[in-house]
Amino acid sequence: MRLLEVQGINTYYGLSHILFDLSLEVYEGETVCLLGRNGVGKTTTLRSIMGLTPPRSGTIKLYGKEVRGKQPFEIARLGVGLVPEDRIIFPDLTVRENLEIAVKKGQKRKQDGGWTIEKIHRLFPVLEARDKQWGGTLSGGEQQMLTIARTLMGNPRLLLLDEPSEGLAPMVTRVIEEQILALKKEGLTILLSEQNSNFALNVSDRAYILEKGQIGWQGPIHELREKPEIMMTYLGV
Amino acid sequence: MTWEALAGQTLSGISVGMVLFLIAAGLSIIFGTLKVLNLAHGSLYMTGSFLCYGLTSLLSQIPGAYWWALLFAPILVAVLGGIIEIFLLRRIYDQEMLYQYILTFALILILGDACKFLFGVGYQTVAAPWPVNGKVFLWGLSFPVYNLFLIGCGLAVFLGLIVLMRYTALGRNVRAVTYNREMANALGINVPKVYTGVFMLGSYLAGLAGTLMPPMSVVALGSDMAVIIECFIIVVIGGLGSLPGAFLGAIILGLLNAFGIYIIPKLAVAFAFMLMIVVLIIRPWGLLGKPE
Ligand SMILES: Nc1ncnc2c1ncn2[C@@H]1O[C@H](COP(=O)(O)OP(=O)(O)O)[C@@H](O)[C@H]1O
Ligand SMILES: [Mg+2]
Repeated sequence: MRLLEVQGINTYYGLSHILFDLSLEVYEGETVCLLGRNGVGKTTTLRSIMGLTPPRSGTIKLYGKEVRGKQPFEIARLGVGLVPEDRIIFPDLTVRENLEIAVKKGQKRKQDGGWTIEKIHRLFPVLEARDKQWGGTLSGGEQQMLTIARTLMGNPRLLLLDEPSEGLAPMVTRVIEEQILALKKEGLTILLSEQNSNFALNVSDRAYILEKGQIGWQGPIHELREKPEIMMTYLGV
Repeated sequence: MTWEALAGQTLSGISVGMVLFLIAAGLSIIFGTLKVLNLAHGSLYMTGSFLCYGLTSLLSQIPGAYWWALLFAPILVAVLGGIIEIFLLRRIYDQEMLYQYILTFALILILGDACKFLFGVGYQTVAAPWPVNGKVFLWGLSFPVYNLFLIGCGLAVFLGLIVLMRYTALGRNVRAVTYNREMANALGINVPKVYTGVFMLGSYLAGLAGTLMPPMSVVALGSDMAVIIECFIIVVIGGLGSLPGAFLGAIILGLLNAFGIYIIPKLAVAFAFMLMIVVLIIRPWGLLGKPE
């Protein structure tokens, strides 16, 4: 079933036109990556979907229902969760408060398979140890885990992950990779952006390669593996 | 200066400081969360004081008229604040700061004229209500009970606000929106609703101060400007965005006014500005604020 359908969106920051008639789709249960060099519009694409930088034209549908023009909190309540690239942990909330804040009224409970603090602690044991600390005191890797965990607490049906491996040590990146694979196994639908293609190739089923605000190439991951010249052309690796 | 005078001035300085704290706390919370410097915050205070006068005269036949005013006047001011946020301020958050100043300055004129139109230009008084009227004798000195009542109110609101901000889900959401409204919004927090709520809370505090002040002062036009300037001084001294800072700043300013008038009446107003300048030079982020 098609969870997300983005059709011909055009997104601007003030006067600068960033995304040009961009279209993409994500099916339920899939992990899809947006690849592209720095500045091609990956973050802008995710922000457009979340409603943070609403596109001026085009359509964005969740389960077939138009959401373009809705406020971010409404889109969040419809089941989209964003893990931003700059993380944005609330420094003067405790780690637990950072998690609790994403819980929405009337949200699914544990017995219905929803996320709970206990379940989060099983996936990210380090957060249990940090439970009462201020969010501002965590290390970079811990902050990345807390950001993912915080978004999960809202029980998203679609997880938008913006460059989850950016700025992390290789060891930590591997841990995050394991955790994303675990989420995928649970059936969560994920759309992630990456420059680090190894990381993305390891976790994704399908890829879109972005170039200057447009889709340059799309296809399954095995095709990318088999044809390194594609990566060479678009990503220079 | 006699002991009696010293103690009396201290008590009255602190109690006026408590009222100023309520106003400054509202100003500071609104600025922290909405990033709007509400120039008309003093006008909300003045509106509260006129409503206090209006309601106590309207209900003068009913016993405990003042207490009804204390219940309803701040709520009316909060509703007025909600209307201002939803219908006016909401339109200019994405605009340049200049629009905020023009809009909130216009509100000073509008609310000032509305008070003048409804209540006239004369001074009005409101008597301290039973059972907080009269005097008490402590250590052989006499104090107005109403001053002690104000101090009690100030402390209660201070503690209440700290508990609200630190230990409730509402306070947690406000802290998150204050830090980053985009992220809070993306996590499912209804940010426009938080904005309205915070503006109404700040307005409520201004209205509460406006209702508490008349029994120890007068209800008069012009108090809007007097009060907003004092609040700016308080938040600069205490640190913008810091609740304990506003509390400390308000007590300092209250005492400074009380003793300034006693010692060198002509310089009473200047003392506050001088202190503010000293703080700005030594600790630009205020006594209890955080450096940027
Ligand atoms: N807030 C902004 N205002 C103006 N231009 C921006 C802003 N954010 C990003 N851009 C521009 O938009 C383009 C795409 O940026 P972005 O979506 O962040 O790319 P990516 O995530 O792929 O690195 C870049 O050219 C960047 O300079
Ligand atoms: Mg980016």
